[in-house]
Amino acid sequence: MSSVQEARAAAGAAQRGAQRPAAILRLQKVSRWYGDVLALDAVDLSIGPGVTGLLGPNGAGKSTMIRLVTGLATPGDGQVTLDGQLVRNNLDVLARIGYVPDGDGLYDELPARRFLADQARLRGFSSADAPRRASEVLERVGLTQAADRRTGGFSKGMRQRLKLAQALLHDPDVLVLDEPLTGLDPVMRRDFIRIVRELGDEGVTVLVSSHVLHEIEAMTNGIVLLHHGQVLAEGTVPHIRDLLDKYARRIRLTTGPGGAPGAAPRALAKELLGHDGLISALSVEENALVVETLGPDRMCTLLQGLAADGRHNVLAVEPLDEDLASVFAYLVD
Amino acid sequence: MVIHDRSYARWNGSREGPVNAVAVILQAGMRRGVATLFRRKIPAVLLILTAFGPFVFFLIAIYGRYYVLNNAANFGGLAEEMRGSELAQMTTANGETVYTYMFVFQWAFVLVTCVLLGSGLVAEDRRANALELYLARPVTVRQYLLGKLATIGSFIAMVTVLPTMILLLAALSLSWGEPGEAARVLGLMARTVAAGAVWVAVPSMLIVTASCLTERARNAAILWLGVVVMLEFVISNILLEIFDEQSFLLLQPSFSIRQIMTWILGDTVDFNAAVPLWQSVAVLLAWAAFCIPTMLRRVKPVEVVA
Repeated sequence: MSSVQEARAAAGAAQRGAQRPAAILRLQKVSRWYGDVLALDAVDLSIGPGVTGLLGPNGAGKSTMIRLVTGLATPGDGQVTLDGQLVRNNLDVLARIGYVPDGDGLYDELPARRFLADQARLRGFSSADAPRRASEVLERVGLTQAADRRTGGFSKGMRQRLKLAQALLHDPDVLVLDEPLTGLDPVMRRDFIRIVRELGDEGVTVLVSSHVLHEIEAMTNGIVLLHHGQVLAEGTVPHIRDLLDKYARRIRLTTGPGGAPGAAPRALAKELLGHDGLISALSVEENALVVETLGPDRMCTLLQGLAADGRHNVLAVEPLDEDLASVFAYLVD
Repeated sequence: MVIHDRSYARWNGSREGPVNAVAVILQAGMRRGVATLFRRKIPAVLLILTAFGPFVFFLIAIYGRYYVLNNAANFGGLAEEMRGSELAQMTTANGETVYTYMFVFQWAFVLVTCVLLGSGLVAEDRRANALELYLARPVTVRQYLLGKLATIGSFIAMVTVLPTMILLLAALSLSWGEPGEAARVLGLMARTVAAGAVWVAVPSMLIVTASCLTERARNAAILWLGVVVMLEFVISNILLEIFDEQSFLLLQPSFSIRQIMTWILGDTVDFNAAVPLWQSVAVLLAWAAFCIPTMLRRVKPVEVVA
């Protein structure tokens, strides 16, 4: 993108962001049963503007929560609100929500543009404006070339894009995406992630459900982790990792070349082991040392000292378990 | 090389606000219906032409009667023979009968229309999870169902009410100037609309209910045809033969519809006096009492058991 376009896009985003009211989705003591199965258990949650990842293994209750916030299901107990208004059976609230379902929901015999125009009509666009808006969103998701092809001939990725397009038709304040990246090629996946991040930056309340951690990680740092129908954790990944202080931090220390292979890491290991209680486990590699510590702050101070006195040539310090996958594993295990 | 700015663009135009969701679903449904006919390579034109066969027949009969009687001198004995013929009587003194027959002859086309265009209306939405898309929008279940009913109802009306109304207009144009005849035809038009509403509403309700009960258009078609054929041609006739009781005709969906239509049209010839009208009304109300709650119960987004 050229600098002019960047400036224009930034100005547009700022202007759009200023116009958009903050939309707060709130679940208050929400429970949902399917027969004897408790899918959601007294969930209390507040989701504001920006992108929030909804994570959890299969059967955690993600789809149930998605259906509750999109008004497709009724809570067995508690209530789901958007800016204080109940979501279920509330057409005013539903008019503010865009939804990309996990299932298909497309009509094979209709061209993409026609399908979107019909959906736009349901969103309050006039019969003259609906095709125009359909063309706009088709361009946005990169389907202009296929706009007049029947959706029955679309690939899985194209269908996903079309589903995103129908959710964007009405400029939603809240966008809910259920496993949106399934079947997308790497280029479209990157583009899709960019759209979601843009919407989040613009102030749209975006809730993305997935069980693929790196997909969520690429979109946002803010997550809600569901397990067995309960919210196991919510917040940013580093914040949640900080709370998990019973798990030792794994850190890779890459050393510079010095003598025989493994000599520099071994010398560094000897130095660190001299500090009582700092290291709980370590392993030596050819040019690196991997340590586990329950005192990350103390370790940090120590490494600064080592770097300053020049006795050890530490080239890089890399935390190994501050990513979403590690946090998820600690929480679920 | 042109570099497209593909950042997210908000809509800058206006919006109409709350929409008539029923009308939108109806328009979309009709477009899909036509697309379905052509996608399945069904000779849609042939179907429509055949459906209009009785209309053409009666149109010729009405026009022929007027032409021959108005030029009696040229036709000699034929005009006298025509005055006494049953067909000529149907198209004049008991003109209501011809419109009853117009509706009744279309029963087969109603069956075909329901199977081809009605069976998948809800079933395919259920299979494709399109209900999620509809109901996550500002669209209620009632609006969704009314849209679907209006869709199949429009197709049924095209092969029943439309040709009948054109026939009436033809009769009106021919009878213009004859004292009392034009007023009678105009009155008949109003009654035809009311009778047509019954003829359209009941099959629409039944096929949409069948469509709500499955996730495959084919299964809905089999269910609908099975129930209608069994009630219409098998069970009712067997019971009628065994017990010789006319009330068993009420098991035929078309019988109750026809009784009410003939009553609305004022057709005393075709009305079965052995079965009271209220019984036919009660049967249709019973169908509605079954179908409406079933439709409302079945139209809901697919829910995943955790």
